[in-house]
Amino acid sequence: MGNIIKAMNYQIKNDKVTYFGVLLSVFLSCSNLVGCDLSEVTGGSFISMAGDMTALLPMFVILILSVRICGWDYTDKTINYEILAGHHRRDVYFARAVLAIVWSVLICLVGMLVPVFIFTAINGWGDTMEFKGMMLRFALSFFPMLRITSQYILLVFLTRNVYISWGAGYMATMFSMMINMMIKEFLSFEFTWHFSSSNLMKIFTFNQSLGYVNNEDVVICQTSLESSFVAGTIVASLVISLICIGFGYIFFKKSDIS
Amino acid sequence: MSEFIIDVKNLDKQYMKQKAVSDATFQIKEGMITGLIGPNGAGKTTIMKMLGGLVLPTKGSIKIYGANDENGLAHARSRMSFMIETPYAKEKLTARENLEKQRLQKGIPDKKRIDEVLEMVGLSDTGKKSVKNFSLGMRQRLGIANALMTKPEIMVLDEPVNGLDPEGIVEIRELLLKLNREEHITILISSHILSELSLLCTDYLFINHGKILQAISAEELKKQCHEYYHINTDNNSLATAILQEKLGVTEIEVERDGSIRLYEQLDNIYKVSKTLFENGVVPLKLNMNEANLEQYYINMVGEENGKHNKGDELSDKKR
Repeated sequence: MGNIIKAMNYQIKNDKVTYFGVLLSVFLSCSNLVGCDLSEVTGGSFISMAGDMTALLPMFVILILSVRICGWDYTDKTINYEILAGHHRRDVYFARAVLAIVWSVLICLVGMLVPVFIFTAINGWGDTMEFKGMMLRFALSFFPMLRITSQYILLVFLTRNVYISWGAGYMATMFSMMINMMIKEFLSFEFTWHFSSSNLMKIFTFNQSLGYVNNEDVVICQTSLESSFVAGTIVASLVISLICIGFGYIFFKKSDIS
Repeated sequence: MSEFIIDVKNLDKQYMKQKAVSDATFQIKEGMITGLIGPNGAGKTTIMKMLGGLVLPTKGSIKIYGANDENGLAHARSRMSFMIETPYAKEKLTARENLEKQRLQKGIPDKKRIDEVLEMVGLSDTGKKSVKNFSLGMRQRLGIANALMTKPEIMVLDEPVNGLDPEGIVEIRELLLKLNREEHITILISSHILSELSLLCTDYLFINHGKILQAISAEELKKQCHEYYHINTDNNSLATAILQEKLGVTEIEVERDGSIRLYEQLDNIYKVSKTLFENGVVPLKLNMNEANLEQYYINMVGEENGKHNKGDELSDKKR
């Protein structure tokens, strides 16, 4: 498996789509700053303004990258030749799954954190929110990102087609978000959010209030999260990830590769 | 330890309503160059894919170097190389970059191996040209280069000279013969260019409608393709004795059905038939055969198609 990972890393680093993913990630995370006075944006206030984009960004970036990493190799027979070279199907599958998760999550975090660090370096962290609390939210976001990546990995190995996976992945994500919003609206029930992309939106949505710091009015964001939400997020993400990765492997192991 | 490095028994592959491979049994010894010959859709590529682990057999067994479990076969495949259907290449990378990726994936420590194989297949001068700008022949050469990276003990090649110009075909043939002779690489190769296979192969496997029709050595095939008279008389054993005694023939064979193959006296058929008749043997059938590999293959496939169509007709009638 190590050799496959090395070869794929070489390929990913030489792939323009990887760099497109980085640019898209940064662009989406900064898109809410249009019209703002950048000299007043601190690290903390950037996060509060990024809002929903911090949730949408991972979904699109993960969709593009994970499907590309896992699915493109069906198109040009890379997967075929790895099996022909004597690699176990287990190694071929899990090398891709691991790299899809690592690269997708890494690029999402880069997209979200690089502007945070830049604004912090220029204008400081500010008083909008606690740094430690914010970092814990970022750490928690790893779990839904893992879940989302696993779902796309399963989709790719079922369809074996990059374009179908991109299309179906996008539709499924939008549909699940819409359903969850309707459930919340009409049934006041948020448990299903743990199983969809809405989960990420909740991690980066803050209860805001007005405060007065250093003779100035500031927006204060509460960074703490309910422990039930945190536990639900982690457990649901791990369970769904295991199921998706597991089913994907079983399907890949038992199917013919054309 | 088996004398066969590849041992396939009763291999079946069923796809929905179609049987792509049916009860295929064959063995390959070390050092052989085996030509897998059959029309399009005969099952050649499916058999190669099953050997490679891409396609899972419905029934039957495959042993490579004596192993038939998952781990053993994976290890055995690491000693092999394959080029099946489309030769492998990443379109946007150059030839060198493609082989570098393969070197990493296969865990080959020596970077110089890339230069060696590019030199072997005549692609050293492609520079920064990406594979998407390669001709079909160049892609085939790159596929062969890829197959040579690991210094395999067995090569499985699916139409490796497809798309090559005549010079290229000769080069690849010479390369494969050299690899077989000097590095003792065993080769299983399929091709539609039968004249090329006849210059290359030590053994042949004929396949049609998913079934192995015949496994035959090149030597045996040469005898069968050699010019000869096929003779049938009212007393074949007496006829054989007469020909040996009266005409002194030595190159004579009796087939399983008792009929005679005479490889001598080919310009003297009058004398042959006269000698038989004068000694009380009546020739019932006497015809010249001169088949080459192509004719042999066409005759075999033609017969098989005849049987196959008959079988289809019977099935239709039953319905």
